[in-house]
Amino acid sequence: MKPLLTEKLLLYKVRVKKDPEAFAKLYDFYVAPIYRFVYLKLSNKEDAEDITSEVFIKTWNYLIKEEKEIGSLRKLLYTIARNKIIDVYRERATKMECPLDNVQHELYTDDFKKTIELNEEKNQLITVIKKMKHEYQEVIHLKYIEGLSATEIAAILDKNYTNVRVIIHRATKKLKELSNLT
Amino acid sequence: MSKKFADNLKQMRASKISGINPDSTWVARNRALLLSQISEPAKTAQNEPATEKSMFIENLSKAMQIFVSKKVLRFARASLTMFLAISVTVGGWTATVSAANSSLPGEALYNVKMASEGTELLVNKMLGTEEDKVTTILKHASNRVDEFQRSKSSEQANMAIQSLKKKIESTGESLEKAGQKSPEEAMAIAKVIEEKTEIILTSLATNKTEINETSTNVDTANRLVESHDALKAEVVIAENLIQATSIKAVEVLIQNVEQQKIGEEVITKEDVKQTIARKLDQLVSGMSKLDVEIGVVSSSTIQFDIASSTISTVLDTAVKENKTTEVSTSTTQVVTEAKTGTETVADAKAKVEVATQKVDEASKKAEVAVTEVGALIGQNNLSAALEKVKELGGVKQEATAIVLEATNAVSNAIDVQQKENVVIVPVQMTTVTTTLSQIISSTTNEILNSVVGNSTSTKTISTPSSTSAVVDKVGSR
Repeated sequence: MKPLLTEKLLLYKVRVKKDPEAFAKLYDFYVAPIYRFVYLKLSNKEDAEDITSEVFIKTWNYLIKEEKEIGSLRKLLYTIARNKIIDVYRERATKMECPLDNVQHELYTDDFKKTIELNEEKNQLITVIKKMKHEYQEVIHLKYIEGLSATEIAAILDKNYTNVRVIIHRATKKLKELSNLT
Repeated sequence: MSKKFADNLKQMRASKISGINPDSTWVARNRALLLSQISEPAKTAQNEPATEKSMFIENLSKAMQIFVSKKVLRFARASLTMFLAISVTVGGWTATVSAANSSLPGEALYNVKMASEGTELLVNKMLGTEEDKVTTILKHASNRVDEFQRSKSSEQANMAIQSLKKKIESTGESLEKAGQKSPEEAMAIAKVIEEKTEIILTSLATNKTEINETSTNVDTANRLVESHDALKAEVVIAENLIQATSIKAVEVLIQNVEQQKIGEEVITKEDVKQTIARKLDQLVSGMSKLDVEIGVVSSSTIQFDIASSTISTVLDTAVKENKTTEVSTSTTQVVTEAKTGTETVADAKAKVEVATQKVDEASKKAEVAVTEVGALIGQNNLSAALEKVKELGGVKQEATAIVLEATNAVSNAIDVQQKENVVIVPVQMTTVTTTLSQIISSTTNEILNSVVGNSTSTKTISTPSSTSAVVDKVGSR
């Protein structure tokens, strides 16, 4: 994990000196987690790439223009990513003429499974995760795939620590149930 | 979660398999694109000259936000405030504190004063009794009255009054809580409240501050008038609150004495009777003041009649000497504005009449109440006596509100009329001057024509020089 102090120094350079190189270094660190997060939600490589780019552009603009306090860069990035994903879902729901909740499920096609090239077990796991509600998917992703702590997840999702612990517990339980059924 | 699941999920991140992780070529390409997109705006932003001297402070503030967590900042701020407050109390910064004692709301040292009061209250809460705490709160309430009286602006006065109200409310709450705990504590607090609130009420009523804010800007001046009217209303609310809290305290005293919950060494029945009598006196004297106030307000309405009469006389004279029924545009404007002014004046006069009646009724009720309360006290029926006092308090509150409404209506009418006079006088002067000049000039021409027509010799007839004399005469009315 990138030392927090280095990240804060880079953030300081971006906010105060508007240093693009400092932002590029932050990009290097966060591009993969954000891409994974977006990809698992949208199930489409091109869309994931586009959205990830947009997330970083928007983050840069926010950091240099907004005077508001930035508690955590990670939180900011994930928040912008989540908002962008919701916009995409809305757009697709209109095009597909299906309810918003069904969009993700519809998008998880055989092609998606092939491109992942994971072994059968991992494939099954992803299928199961995508059957869960969004809140559970997010905590499973952030906790087990990204390896974040409950405190960090709470900051990203803007919930309190205890609440997140409860959600993690319920999500994990649900994942086990669904996995046992398949 | 089973280890297998957790491992499988974790491995996805580490996996070099395409799909779930971004393509490295894309990452590099995107990075270059991102840099190209953000570099230009960054250069422009960096080249902008610093327009504020506080750039350093701004950068420092941003750095603090990034490097220090919110919790730590909050804790540091709270610790610093506590440290300052303790230093002020313990460290002996007497010069600062004594300088701060005379500060007013909004001034630099006012926060030091508040911190010092806060510390004093905290110490009393921790080491003293509830009675000590209430005594301290009322002492601070007196400070607010002092600040109100020394205020230099309506904002300062308003802040002082709001703080005073909060202090009084908190003493009321303390009294209620004490009532649920022990009669002795309730009695002690009630005594303190009754004594101190009387002094506060007297101070508030006398030497009410006159805020001398003025402005040449019409909008600002209007806002000042509104804010002064609002301030007057706030003062009345504060007085009512203090009165009500004081009465509540007396109620507690009566309850405990009648139910013999406390001994005569704490307070005697005679003391309570005298307290009730004092409350009644306060109310009656308040009624007299209202009577005087409405009298003054009523007399100020006479000037409306004088002003209106002057205006119509001037206008009449202008029209008469005009010898024309034509009404100029400027005169129409004058008449319209005079009408608006008349409506405002009529409204004010009506309100003054209502207020005068109300005050008369209230005064009569006060006279009756004095007799009844006296009789009830004589019969040792203290609760009933206090009920009568409370009733009279309600009557006085109503009358005060109506008098305040009338006072505001009159001051509004005076403002409107003053504006009107400013408009009317130059307009009518212009009207008179113009039309008289026209008349004189046309009359002179007629005379000249007739003279020239009837005679072969030309004679110069001097134009009457009385135009300005007539104008002066009209204008002086």
